[in-house]
Amino acid sequence: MTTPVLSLRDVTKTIDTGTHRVEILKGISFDVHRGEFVAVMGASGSGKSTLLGLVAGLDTPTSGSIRIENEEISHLDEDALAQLRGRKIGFVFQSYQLIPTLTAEENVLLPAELAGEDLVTAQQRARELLRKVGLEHRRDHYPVQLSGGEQQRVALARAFIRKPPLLLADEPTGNLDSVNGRQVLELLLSLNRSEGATLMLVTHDRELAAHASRIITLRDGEVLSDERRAAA
Amino acid sequence: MRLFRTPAWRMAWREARAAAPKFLFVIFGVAAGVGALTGVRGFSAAFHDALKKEARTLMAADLLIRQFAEPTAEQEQVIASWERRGARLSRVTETVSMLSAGEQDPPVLVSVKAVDPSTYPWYGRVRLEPEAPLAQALTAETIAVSDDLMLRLNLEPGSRVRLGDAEFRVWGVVRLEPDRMTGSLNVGPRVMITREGLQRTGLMVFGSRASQRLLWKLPAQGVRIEELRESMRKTFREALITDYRETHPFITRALDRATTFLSLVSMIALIVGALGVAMAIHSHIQQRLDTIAIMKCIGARSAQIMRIYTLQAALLGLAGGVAGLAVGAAVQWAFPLLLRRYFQFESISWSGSFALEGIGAGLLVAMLFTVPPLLAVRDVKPALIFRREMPEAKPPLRARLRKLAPAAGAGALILAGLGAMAAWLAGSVKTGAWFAGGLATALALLGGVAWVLLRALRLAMRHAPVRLPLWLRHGMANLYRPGNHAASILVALGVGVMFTLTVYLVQNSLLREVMVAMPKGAPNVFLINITPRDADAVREFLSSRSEIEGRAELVPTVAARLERVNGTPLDELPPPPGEERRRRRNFTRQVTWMRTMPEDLRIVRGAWWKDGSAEALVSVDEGTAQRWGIAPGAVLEWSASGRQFQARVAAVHRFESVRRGASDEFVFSEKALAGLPVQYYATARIRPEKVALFMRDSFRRFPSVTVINAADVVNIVQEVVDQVSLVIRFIAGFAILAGAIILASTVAGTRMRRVRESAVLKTLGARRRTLVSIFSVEFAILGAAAGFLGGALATGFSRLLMIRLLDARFDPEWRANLLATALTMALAIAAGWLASLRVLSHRPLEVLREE
Repeated sequence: MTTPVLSLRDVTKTIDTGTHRVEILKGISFDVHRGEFVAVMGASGSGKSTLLGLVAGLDTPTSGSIRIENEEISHLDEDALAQLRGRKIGFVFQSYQLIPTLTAEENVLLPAELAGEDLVTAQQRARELLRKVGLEHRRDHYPVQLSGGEQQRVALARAFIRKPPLLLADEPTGNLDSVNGRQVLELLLSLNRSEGATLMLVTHDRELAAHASRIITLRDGEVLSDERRAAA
Repeated sequence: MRLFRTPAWRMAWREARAAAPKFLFVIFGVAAGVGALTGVRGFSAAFHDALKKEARTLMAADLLIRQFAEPTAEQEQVIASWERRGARLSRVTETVSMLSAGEQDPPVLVSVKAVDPSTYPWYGRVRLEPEAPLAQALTAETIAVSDDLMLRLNLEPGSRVRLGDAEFRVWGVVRLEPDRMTGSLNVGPRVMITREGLQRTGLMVFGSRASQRLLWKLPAQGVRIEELRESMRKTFREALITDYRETHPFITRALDRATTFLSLVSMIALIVGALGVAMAIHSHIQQRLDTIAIMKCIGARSAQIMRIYTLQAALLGLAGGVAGLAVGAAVQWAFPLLLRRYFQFESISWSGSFALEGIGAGLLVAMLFTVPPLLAVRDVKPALIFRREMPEAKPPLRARLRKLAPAAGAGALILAGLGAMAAWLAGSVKTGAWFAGGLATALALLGGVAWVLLRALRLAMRHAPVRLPLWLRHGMANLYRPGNHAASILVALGVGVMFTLTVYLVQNSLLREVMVAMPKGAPNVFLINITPRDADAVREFLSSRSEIEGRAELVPTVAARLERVNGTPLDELPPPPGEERRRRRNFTRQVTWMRTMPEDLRIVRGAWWKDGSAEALVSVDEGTAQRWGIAPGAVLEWSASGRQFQARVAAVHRFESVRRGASDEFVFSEKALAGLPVQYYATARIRPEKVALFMRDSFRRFPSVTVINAADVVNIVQEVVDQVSLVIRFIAGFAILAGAIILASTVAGTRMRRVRESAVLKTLGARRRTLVSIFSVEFAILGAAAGFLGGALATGFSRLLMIRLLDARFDPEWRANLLATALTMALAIAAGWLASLRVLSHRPLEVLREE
């Protein structure tokens, strides 16, 4: 079998609030293979966002191992994590998180720039991605001049600029109305197909999860179910 | 109180409390200004207080008389009559002379103070080191000197020195003398000596220039101070007379002027701090737009909402004022250290009398500056909560102009308020108006230039021929981020830099002026206190010295008092224009005589006399003649050394070249001054490296002749100027401090946004170093721009001041400007990082999850 893109073994996360300890994740283990589309579901407080954060290296686990393309990330320091994210992970936030002082195109370009890529090529790719999300004509606009759906489409383009093997999304349609939400979802799926990335997203939107090839459901920090299904 | 139960108060208080960390810096900013102000005024009040309480100690007497002549025979009679009634007198003579510690070293110019150790001081005490009573330490053979003289001549107790004709043993160091501040002629290191000792030196001959002080002590009963004072006023008509019931007029006047000036400088720091309050309230309101819109939706009127934020501004001003009191206490404590040389109290008590004034000033200025951001509340539409939109099209010009009217009104209100406050601090409406006007000009100028500079930077960034590195572009882009107030920070910091640097530049320029202004060939060595006995020998000595360039001439001087013009006493002549308000007029002049007309003298009216003319004649300087209405033919009556004489005005003259002596006003024929006590002075031009040799030889032959090296005088001037400007810079520095704090405050105000952004950047793969660079660029540009701007304006102002006002030269100092820019940049980076200390330590997830 090929090396999984993502591999988790006995991952726990405990928060010490001072007065009491809260076990958010109580030993999670699973593998995600290339080309899969995993939806992580669960009620609020089940630990799904924490899990996503750990996978993205935005936080470190209390114990256990997380490997991305066979590279252990749970012991890396912040700068190393930052570089790893730039190389291997694309991230889409619920609330877009665009930099307000940069134009749409500059926002898309940013990860490439941070990685020190050749800018001429990167710029071509940024425009290509903006065209794909239908915002080529808005590339010189600032985030405040864009609607929520448009901002999230810019964020999608940004997530794909470095062709990451793993794309993570946290409630990507959570802040959008149904029309805009569907548009963003479709774009996400089509980009994922054309770019050949592995997709893992956190949601409690059943309709969205219905598109996934695998649904992992969490409850109280544990994997309740892990079902594979025929891709929609 | 009802206020505390209103919803406005509750909301104001809760919001302010929630935003406390954000407001903390602003509070410090106001505190810096209030601190400078209360410090200055508190110290001044304490100083006044001490002057009053310690008036006896500061004079070392109940009543003090100071004049530049020995008492005449009639005056001595009056003195004797009071002594018979039980009043006691101690005499102090002060003069300058030369002291030498050996044949090798050149002699040093010292200020000699001769006292009677058995009676002096009546109040307070002289502190010596080693500790000893003055009467025990000082005899006719010993002296005590200041520690700087000890150091300079490498003396120790027991060393032998020469002063005038006599040799003395150094007893020890004078640490403190109670009446130092009320004395005079403090130009060189102190030498304290007994009156017998002064006699031995032979320095004091009839006509020698010295300040005489008469220190009276009243008997326990029998003599009223009013009585003594009235009698002394009649007897010593040209003397300065003070008694313990009042503070010393010279010190008081100087203190009042300094207080006014420093208060206004402090006010600038306060204004910078208030600018911070305005910015903080502005961004605070920007963040509360939703709340404001909601409140309007449920029926709140603009005025009600404005009340909330007015209360918050008041809270900020108040907190800053209270915190400022602590700063003020520190400033008060620092002042005596800064003024160590001139300020000699044993102790000074802290004065809290200006606490209320300081808090009031902080409150008032903070409220004034909050008016413009508050006006924005009126423009908030309730519909905002449904959709926040950026107005893409500008409203028509007329609408924008209409919107400007309240802003202009607010501006006028602020200016009027500040002007009124300045007028109150300075005690003069005119000063207040000038201050407000000058401030408005400076702020407008700074604001305009800051705006242009920021625009230009942005243009340069957009159209840079090469793609700038990410961190640079990003850092610069941060300057234009909403809520960043880059222009306001530039103004705030720039004002501080401008003020501090202007003081420095003017100070430097003035000193250079003093040094450079001496034209080539102008005399640089002055010989004074030459007695008639020595005159011929000195003349011969001078002509034998090869190091003297050109010819050194001896000029005779006589101290004489002008009594009447054409029979009218001077007191009854109409006072010259512009001098109406002077209370005490001094008509004693150093006058001279000349046999032949000097080459550089031009006769304006009348005619010069023939050499050997038997008549008593005088020629009067053009300006003086005009002031007193003197024309050729007028008869001037004089008194000198108790003798009356008169002279007819033969001519009115003008000197073509700038003269070095003061004796140009009245030039007599030789006959007119015959028989009066004469002192001579001489001036010479000597190459600087030869001056020491000349002084040594001169001292060896004429120990009682005082030789003054102009370079030493420049040094003394420099010391005084340095001390004064140190104090001004110290206070002006508070404006810079306030500016830096405001920078920190706005950085802290955008902290949440920075935290979130750095989290996003980290998520996208940015390393710490990149983030550090991005933020540093932002702070560095702000600091450098403020330093550069402030520096440029300081150069402009200094130039204006030097050339227009002081009629002197001004050369820009690039190095000082460069240094100011670099320092401001460093300060800005430090302040910026101080305010965003924890931004980088946040983990991205914590931040992003807070959505």
